[in-house]
Parts: sequence; structure tokens; C-alpha cells
Amino acid sequence: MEIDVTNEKKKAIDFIVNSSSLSELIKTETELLGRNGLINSLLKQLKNIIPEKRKTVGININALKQEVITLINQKKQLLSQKIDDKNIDVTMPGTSIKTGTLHPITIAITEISSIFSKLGFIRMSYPEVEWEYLAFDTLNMPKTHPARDDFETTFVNGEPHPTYGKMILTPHTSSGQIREMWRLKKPPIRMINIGKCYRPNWDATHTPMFHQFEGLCVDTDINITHLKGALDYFAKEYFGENTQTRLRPHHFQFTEPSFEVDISCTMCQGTGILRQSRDSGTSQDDLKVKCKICKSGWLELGGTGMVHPNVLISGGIDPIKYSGWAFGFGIERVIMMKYGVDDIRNYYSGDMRFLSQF
Amino acid sequence: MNIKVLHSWLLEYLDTKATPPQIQQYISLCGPSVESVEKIQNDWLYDIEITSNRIDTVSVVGIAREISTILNRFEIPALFKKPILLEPSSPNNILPFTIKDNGKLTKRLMAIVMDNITVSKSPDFITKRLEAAGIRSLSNIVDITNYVMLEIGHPTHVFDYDRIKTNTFILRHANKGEKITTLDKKTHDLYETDIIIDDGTGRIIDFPGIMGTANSVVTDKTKRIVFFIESNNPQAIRRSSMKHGIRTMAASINEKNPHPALVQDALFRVIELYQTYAKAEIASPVYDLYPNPLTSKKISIDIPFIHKKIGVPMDKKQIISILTDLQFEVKTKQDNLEITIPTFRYFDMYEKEDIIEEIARIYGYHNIPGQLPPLAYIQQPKDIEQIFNYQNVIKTYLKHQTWYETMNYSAYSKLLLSAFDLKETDHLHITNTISEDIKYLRVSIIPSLLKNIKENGGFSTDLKLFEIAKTYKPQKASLPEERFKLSLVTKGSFLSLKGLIEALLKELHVEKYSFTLSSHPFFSSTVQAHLLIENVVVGVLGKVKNSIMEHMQLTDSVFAAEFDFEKLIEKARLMPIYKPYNPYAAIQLDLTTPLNQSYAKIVQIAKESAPHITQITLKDTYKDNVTLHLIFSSPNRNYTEKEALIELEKIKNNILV
Repeated sequence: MEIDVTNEKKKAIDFIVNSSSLSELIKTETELLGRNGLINSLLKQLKNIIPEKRKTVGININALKQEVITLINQKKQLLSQKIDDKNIDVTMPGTSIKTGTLHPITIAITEISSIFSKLGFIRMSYPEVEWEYLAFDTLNMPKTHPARDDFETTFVNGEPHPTYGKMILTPHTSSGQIREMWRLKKPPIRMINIGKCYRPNWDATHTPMFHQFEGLCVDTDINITHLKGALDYFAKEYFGENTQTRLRPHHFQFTEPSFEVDISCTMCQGTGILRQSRDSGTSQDDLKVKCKICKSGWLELGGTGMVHPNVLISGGIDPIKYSGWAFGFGIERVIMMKYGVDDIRNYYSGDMRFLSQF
Repeated sequence: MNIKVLHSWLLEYLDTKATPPQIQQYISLCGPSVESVEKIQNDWLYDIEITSNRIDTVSVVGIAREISTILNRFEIPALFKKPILLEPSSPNNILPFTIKDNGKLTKRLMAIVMDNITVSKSPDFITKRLEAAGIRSLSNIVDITNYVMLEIGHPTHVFDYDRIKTNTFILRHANKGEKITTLDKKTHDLYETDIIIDDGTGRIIDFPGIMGTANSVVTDKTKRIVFFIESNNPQAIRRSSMKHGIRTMAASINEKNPHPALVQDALFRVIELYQTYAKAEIASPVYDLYPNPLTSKKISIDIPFIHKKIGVPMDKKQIISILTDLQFEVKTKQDNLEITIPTFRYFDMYEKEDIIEEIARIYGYHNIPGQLPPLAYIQQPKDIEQIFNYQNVIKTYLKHQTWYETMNYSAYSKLLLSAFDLKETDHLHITNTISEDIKYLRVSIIPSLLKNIKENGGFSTDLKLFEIAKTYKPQKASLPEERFKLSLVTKGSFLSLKGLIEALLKELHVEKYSFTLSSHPFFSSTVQAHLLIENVVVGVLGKVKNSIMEHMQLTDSVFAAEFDFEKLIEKARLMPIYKPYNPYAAIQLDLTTPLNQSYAKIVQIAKESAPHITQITLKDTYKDNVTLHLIFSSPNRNYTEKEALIELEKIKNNILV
């Protein structure tokens, strides 16, 4: 005769697992470990086993007995815990774990750099205190350009450079274009320059410091289609897949042609009209209201264009062989457009009522 | 700048059946942005943004010209009706008049004297059109000057002939100490860079291109007028207008350099309207000082170059038709186009790219497809990559350790600087700052963070703030050294701040660091330390000293730290140095001992006295005692408690010696 201990073990475990109450478990315990239980009946059959195998089988049966005892005890513990579980108040707050916050600009910078890195654009950082020459002359803005005067540019008292002129705080991130051209000496160029910009303007919609992200792409055969493609990609990645973009003619000294980019309004989905349910009244119709965020369905994202040949020349790049596009958008502005974080003055006030939200 | 124009006025120069909303939609895509179109009674009002390069469109005529070209591309018939302006007839009686611009302060001057005028209310259409544009209607004489500015796009000015007793206009620079009273009755002290008109006796009778003066302006009693237009130096206009804060529409247009040819158009149109609506009679020849007339300008471009830059093939016929619609003259020779620029586009057309913009915008940017730029690999410099990566790592870590990130302006006030005993001369400063609060470029971030603590007084008792930003250290004969710094402030304690810094170093897997005494001027002389990583000073932490606290009007202790960001991350690693774990049993024992010397010294003694110590941590402090938690082990066998106790005894004795 033979005894299949493995098979018996399976039966025993099934019994224990299927016992769903303490009383059932006690019944199972008797069935397994009682005087006439499974283990004992197996031990009784031992005498029928051929002597050579009897010892091994005996050891296996005893091991089984020990395991059954352990499993029954564990199960007893679990079943008695179940009785102890009171109904809890799930609305009570969990044990509080504190956390700090990141500045919204940091969050946006991370998001933006990651979007462009997928296209192979590298993030750079260039001086915030710069020479006039790099912020203006090299960008096709002659000495007489109004943006260079005291009302639009922030001047710094450092000793002027004999050829590069006065020291200023960068009024835009575009000086990074020239710095990157000088660094690489030769295209291809794929750059995102994110930095602080400064203009002497402080009111409800302007702060004297703000952030811009500047994209620059220079290569052989870059044309308007590549600018459109890249802007469309960015708008869909950052603002959502249904976002539409459009270019409108505009004017900037450092690009030609120059465009203003609009995206379809994130609030009214480009319709210019918001639907609101009526608060009261008999009509079931929704109330149609003009969207307050956009100009008839579109939101201005910022300025862009094909790099002006004079800018390429300043950067030491042959404008006949190479061409490129560039843009410079405000980070505060894209955050406002995407997340509705308005009053720009809050960004740099250090006010915890603002900072602690993010 | 923006202009507001009524649809009915546009139709005087434009034939089209397009609806105003259609015009808004199409013009915005290919030309100036129509920001809004609004129904007003039986008419529509456009609000149009004019970019600084296209000052030729700051007028009804200019907009009509743009609209006609663009609508045709959308297959909506439209025809531009060019204004027909006739040279005025010769005068019967000539009233004496002299103009002098010996210094050539203007590019062109035109003037005419008119007699027997009738001052009255303007006809309704003029009043309505001006008011819709946001200009107050005063009298026919004044209104017509504004009407023509809006219609033709060049500012104009009218004087009372009899109030200028000398009949003489002399353009000159102002002298120091001279004053001017503009027609809004405000008096301005003039700068020597300002250009004014003198009547020959030293009396100032105009601020040309910017605003008229109270002493020469027309009144209800005016009988004879001088009508006068000058083409100004745009930089001079900009400078004077900004310096005196006189931002008239005339100044806004003049500083953008309208073409001198428009001076004549505007003059002829005004004469025509004065004759019709003020019964004016011509009383002088037309004066015209135009010493250097602008000649015509040509740009040559090849068709394949146009294709290459736009990225869309376009046929030659289409290109030529766009350009001729825009009133460019085109001569073709195979694939080459020789283009003559119309006068009104003289100052915004310089090179081939300008022509490409014209072709592409009228073709329609919406008709150009998009594609991603071809992939190219450019290596990001490793140091830059590290800075940005670790900024993210550190900011995120600090956030999870309950710290708040803040961003302040890159400059602080003289008051803040002196509270911290910083020297003005160690800073660069902004020479034209708009607020004294942001004048000196930061050399440290701590002052700004302390200001945040002060200003958030009521927010929380355990405020923890940090900022990573560039600081600007002046350099001799070069741009300042811009270095990122990480700064932290907290109301906690020295050890809580030190603990955070140690945890941060652990996060960065920096192992070989130490803290040593320091003497930084921001901190209490006894509660501060340098952080050294591999024996290089990386930064400092400490308790903000009392004199600063007093200046900042803070009472609860504040602790701060500041690190050079690049030095802090120089030895950082994303993964620690891997060591195989010791499989043998280790013995853990505690040792309580009096703190009779520095903690570092005690640890050093322990390590030196017990060769099997593998780890020492501080378990507790009580009064002047410390309890250390010690782990003993051997790399090649199970270590026994008996052996460990012998080493422990040795440590005790050596500490107490």
C-alpha cells in the first residue's frame, strides 16, 4: 500500500482555507487533528506500508501534522481579528503628513523642457546681465530702436565694454540665440533657453522681472513649415491634444517674417462662447456668454518668426546656407493660459497664501 | 498702437460686399490684427492693432489698401479706391509767411496760409468718425486736422496766423531753462535735445510732432490760419515725448517714421476740407522744404529662394499677383524678380526676407502645412545638464521635506542691503530702476528670504523657505560672475537646519563632508558653521545675528543657510557607491558618556580605540551626556558580544582620559 502525503496535504489546506468562521475552524481542527481525524487515520495506515518506505512516510506525516497545527493557529488569529474590527469612521482624516510646494514657474519649466527635449532641443542658460550689443545690436536692433531706451530697458552701472556697450539686464531671452550660435560655431542648433527677463514696468499685468523660454532651431533648409510643426507640437503637448494654433503677421526686429502665435482658447475651446446653465427661470436652454478669457476664440501665445539674416550674420552663421526659426514666450503667460493662475504680481511676492497652493 | 475705424469710413476707399466680421477674420490672418469689431447703430467699429513697422496702415486709406489685397485672396471681390488729391489753386492775396529749418531738424516741411475761415461745429460725419476713434470733437478747424491724420496717416497741425505776430516759423533746439506751455495748459521745462518752433523773437509757438502750444492754438475767434506739417526725426520725437510724458497720437505716429510723401497727401486733403467745411481761402503758395527727397528702392529676389524659405512651392504668376496687389512693381527675368518698393513701404522693406514675408502672409500662413524640424543631435554641456538635473532633484527633495520654494526679484533695496551690513560697492545696481525696492543686484539670496519671513509673519510659526537663483558678483571690466546659489531660511533651530542639510547630502549621496567653525557676517558668531565637501567650503549655515533681526523687526530666532550650487552638486551621485553587505553577525551596543569634548572628537576617539566599529550614530542627548549607538562587526566572521564589550570599555577609558 502507498500513502500520497502531498495529496493529503492539499486536502487539509483546502479544509482550513474554506473554514470561514471560528466554529467551522474548530470542526475542521477535529476533522484533521482529532482522535479519528485525518492525521491519525494516516498514522494508523502506516503499518501497511512496506518497511523500507515506512520511516520516510512517517516523517512526512509528522511534518504534515506540524504544518496543519501552524496553519490552524494562524487562521484562528485572523478570524478573531475579524471579530475585533469595529466599524471605522472613514471620514476621519488620515494621519497628517506634511509637504512643501514648488514654485509654479519651476513646475512649468520642467514641463516645457521635457516637451522640447523630445525633439532634441537642449536647455541652456545664458547671462542675465548682458551687454547691449548682445541684447540689441546683434539682434538687428539699431542704437535708435525705441526698445533700447530708458523706458524699456533696465541698465546696470557696470563699466561699459569698449565695443559691446552698456551693461543691461536681459529684456528678453533672445540674447541667448547669439550666445548659442557663438558656442556651437556651426549649425545644427536646437536650443531652449529659459531665463529671467527684466523690463521697467510694474503694474497689474507686468512685473519688472518675468521668465521667458526661447526656442532656436537653425539648420540647412529650415523653413516656415518647420516652425509651424514645432509650435503645433508644443501647443498640443502643453495645452492638450485638441489645441489649435494659428500664425498671424507681426513685427519683431530679430525675425523676418515675424508672427504672433495664437492658440485656440482653453476655456471656450475656440468658440468664443461659454455655455452656462441658467440658475433659475423656466427655460431649459443654456445661457450663452461671451468668453472673457479670449479674443473671439483665440489666445495670444507670443512672438515668433524666421531668424533674421542679420541675426545669423551676427552669430557667425552664413544666412545663404542656413536658415532658422526662433520664438520667445512668457512662462507666466503660458501658466495663466493653462492653469488660470492670473495676477502675475503674486509670482514674486513671496506670499505664502499664493506659494502654499502649488 | 491701436486705431479705431468705422466701417462706413473705410468704404470711402474700398469697394466690397464683405461683412465686417468677415473682414475681421481675414484681415487678422494676413494683415493687421483686428482685435474687435463692434456694431454701433448702423455702422461697425473696428479696433485694429498696428505694428510699429507698418505705420503706413495707421490710417483709413492704409487699412483699405490692405483689406482689398487680402479679401481678393479669399475670393471676396474688393477694390481699393485710391484717394484723389488735387494741388490747391494759386492764391489771390498772399499773406506774408516765412519758415526756416537751417539745421535740417526735419526731413520735410510743408505749410500754407488760409484766410477768412469760419469756425463752427464740424459736420456730423466728421464728429461721428472722430468720436468713434476716441478723439473729442472741438471745432471744424481742429477736427479736420485730426480727421486727416486718421484718414491719411500723417499728423498735422493748425495755428492761429494772427497769434503768431511775426509770421515766422524757425525750427531749433530748445535752450536750457526754456519752458513750453502746451495746449493742454501744462508747462514743461525743456531739454536741449527737444526741437521747438520759435517765432523769431525767442517766443516758443509749437512742440512740433508732439503737441501744439497754448499761445498759438486756434480759438473761436480765429480768422486766419497757418496749416503746417513736418516730417520729423523719429528718434527726436520719441525722446521728447517719453521724457515729457506727452504720449499723443501724433507723437506715437511720428516716432514710427511715416513716409515724407504723406506730408503732401495730408496737406492737400486738409486744404480741400477747409475749403469745403470752413470756407477757407488760400492765402499763400504751398511751402515745401524737402531738401533730400527719398528716391525709389528696389529689391531683387529669385523664385527658388522664395520656395526654400517658405517651404511650399508657389507659382510665379501667383507671386507676382500678390506683389502687384500690394502695389509693388515687379519686373521678371526668368526666375528673378526685380521689385520696386512703393513709397509708403519705404521704411519697412530692406531685404529679400521682407519680400518673403509679404508673399507668405498674403498667400496665407494657414495655407502653409506644418512638419517637425529634422532630428539633429546637439550635446548639452555636462555642467549645464547637471545644474538643471540637480535643481530638480534638490527642489523636489526639499518640497517633500516640507520646504516651500519661493522666487524673489533679482535685486534688493538699499535698506535691505544695509540691514545685512553689505556694501553698496560690492553690488552692481540698476541705474534706471522703477523702484528703490529692486535696485541692487543680489550677491546673496538670504536677505530676500528674510524679507519673505518678515512679510509672512502671520502665516505659520515654522515657516521653511528656499530659493535657487543666480547671484551677481561684480567683476572688473567684465560682466558679473553669475552663480546659482541655494538658500534656505527657517524659524526652527540650528540642528534642525543642519539635519536637513545632512539629509540632503545623503539624498545626493555625498559622503565626505564636514562642518567647521566659520565667521560669516550674517550670523551669530557662536552659532554658525561652514559646510565642507572633500575639504572645499561649499557654504555656510547659522543663526541670523541680532543686529539684522533688529533691522528686520523680527523677534523669533531665524536660521539660514546658503550654498554655492555648483560646488554642492560637484560630488553628487544619482547612485551611492555600492558596497557588498557584511553577511556576518554584528553586535549593537549603546554608550552613554559625558560630552566633555566636541562630539566629533568623541566619535574620532571611539573609531581610533575600537577597530571593529563600523557605525556610530547619535541616539540621544540628555543634559551634558550623549548616548551613542555603536555597531561592531568583522568582515570575515561572526563577531561576539564579549569582544565588543572589551572594545567598548577601551572607548570609555579613552574618552575619559
